[in-house]
Amino acid sequence: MFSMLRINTASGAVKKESHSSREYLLGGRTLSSHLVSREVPADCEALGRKNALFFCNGVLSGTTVSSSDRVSIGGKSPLTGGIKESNAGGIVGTRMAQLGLRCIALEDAPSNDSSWQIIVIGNDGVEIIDGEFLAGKGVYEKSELLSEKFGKKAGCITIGPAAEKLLFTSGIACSDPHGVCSRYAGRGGLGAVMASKKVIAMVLKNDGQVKPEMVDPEKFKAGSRKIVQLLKENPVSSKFTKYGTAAMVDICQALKVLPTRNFTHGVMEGAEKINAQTMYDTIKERGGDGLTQHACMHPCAIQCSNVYPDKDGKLLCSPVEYETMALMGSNLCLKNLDTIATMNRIANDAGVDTLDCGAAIGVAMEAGLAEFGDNEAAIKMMEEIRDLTPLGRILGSGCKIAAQVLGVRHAPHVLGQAIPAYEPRGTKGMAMTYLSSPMGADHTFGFTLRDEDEPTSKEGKVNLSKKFQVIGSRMDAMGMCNFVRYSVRNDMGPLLDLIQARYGVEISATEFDDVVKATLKAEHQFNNDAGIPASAHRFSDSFYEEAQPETGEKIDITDAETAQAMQW
Amino acid sequence: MVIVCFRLTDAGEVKIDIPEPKPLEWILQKSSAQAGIELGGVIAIRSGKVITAETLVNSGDKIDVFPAISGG
Repeated sequence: MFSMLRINTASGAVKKESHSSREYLLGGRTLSSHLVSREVPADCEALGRKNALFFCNGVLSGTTVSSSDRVSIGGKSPLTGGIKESNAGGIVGTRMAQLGLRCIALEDAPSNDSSWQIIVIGNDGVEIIDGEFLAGKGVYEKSELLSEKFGKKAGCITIGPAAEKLLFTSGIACSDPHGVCSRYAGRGGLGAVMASKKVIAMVLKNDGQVKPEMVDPEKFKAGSRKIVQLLKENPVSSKFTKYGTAAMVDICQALKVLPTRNFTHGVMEGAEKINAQTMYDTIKERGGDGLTQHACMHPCAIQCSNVYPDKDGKLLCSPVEYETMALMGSNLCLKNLDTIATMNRIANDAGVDTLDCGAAIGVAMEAGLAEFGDNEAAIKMMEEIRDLTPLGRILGSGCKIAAQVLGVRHAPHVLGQAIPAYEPRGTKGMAMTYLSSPMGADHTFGFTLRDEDEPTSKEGKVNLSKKFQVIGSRMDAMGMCNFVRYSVRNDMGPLLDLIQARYGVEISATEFDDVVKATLKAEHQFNNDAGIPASAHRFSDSFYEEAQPETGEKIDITDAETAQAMQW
Repeated sequence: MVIVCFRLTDAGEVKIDIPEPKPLEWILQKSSAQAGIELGGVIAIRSGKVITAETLVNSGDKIDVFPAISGG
């Protein structure tokens, strides 16, 4: 049986439930998306009382299995108007498991003038305490205050000042193993949903005493070791250890899909100044707090994260990832890693998504508010978001709204969510994935780039995207890190064996994929019921009308092809 | 001679003499063995374009080989 806590944020009532269905067994996005589909009225206001937020850990959370402790957060997105699942690493999933929880639901909402509240969950129950002392503070300061009050080992979840003002790019920050809320479920504006419930933080105390029970402990131990072995031996997974996701800068530059100058180009001259090797060398040279590899959760054999230090060797930002390096770097024609890390830090402190804000700043630069390549102006715009100035609020509402307000046609988004770091005209597989995702433009939804024989052609990309929508969603479906997929993409057996060894439940690879497909179907159905039309699954017209200079390509994917890629 | 550049690895460049055009797959096997590295999924790029396992590689070509990873 799997436990779920339902917390009514208006009345303070808490209800504990037990469930035994396969959705609760798997947890992760399987559970969060099915709960949103069933319990949230699709046509409700995302920031209204009928929306709910579901925090779900995964089937192997709290065990010794590498990279198995992500927390999946689901709700209706204010940014896209559709269903949203966004997940994060850190220690929250572990703490939930130690407290015997599979899911925490935040339901209802108090009136707007209610005071901020902190939900504290521990071995002795749930307490709701006053959270006003956190109001208006940045996420780093909130993190420190929460650590002082509850200890560094507590699993803390909080939001930034941008969420407090209900900005659509606001995310939810989760504690890393050092007690800093730097692990973001960043996309879709779920931070604003949490704020709409007047919950400024949620704390999972480090007093949980539930130990994972195994049906077959020896088999589980062997299976857990097998996952580590697969991760260590896989040349792709092991590549993350040295360079992290930053390795994509060179790859995308070579493929001419590195977002540059508000997604008008796919190549940036001087991209090597912000590539993985430069970052690696900079971190090594500066020393101090800097780390070229770092685990966002324990245990993790991949350790793709990093700690980027300032010139004095003091922590500037952790992590700095490829998507941020592109959206806050090349997309703005910035060639300075310190600038990118500074912007990333401000975004983390404001509690906003780096992709959506990077894209919004790109739009602002195209509107003439600053020159592309102007480091100081880019940092200032991030400060405006953090300081909640009128311009900052516009940028913090995402690139679609920023483009509407600032009069820019070339707005890089689908369903209002910014396009991630792969220029879609140069990679039609990724374009198909962006267009057909129920979450808005999302690279993790179906990462085709490495398997596209001819990236600029749309031929075969419906099927390729669908294939990777399933492969990509498998890890989310059970709360695993997405990077484990390289080691099990051709054989899910090692993970399914672990489920069998832990719970005694046999799931075949086909059955598991059927669960994944059923989740995709439910997510699309939610969006249909929410009234999202087919025409929303398009890029801005300029992507269809103007060729990307380096590839000569335009978007040529039709609505019918997008519809096929959404059919399950 | 074909130059194979294994990017983001310590292997660097590997040079292979080929008397006639050879498929990329053959080139990768030969060059990775010569460099002493194990290849997983890769993206191979010649003159800014992706090439596939069966693409014929000619003497004088330079191939950039990247580990086929993804962003997070």
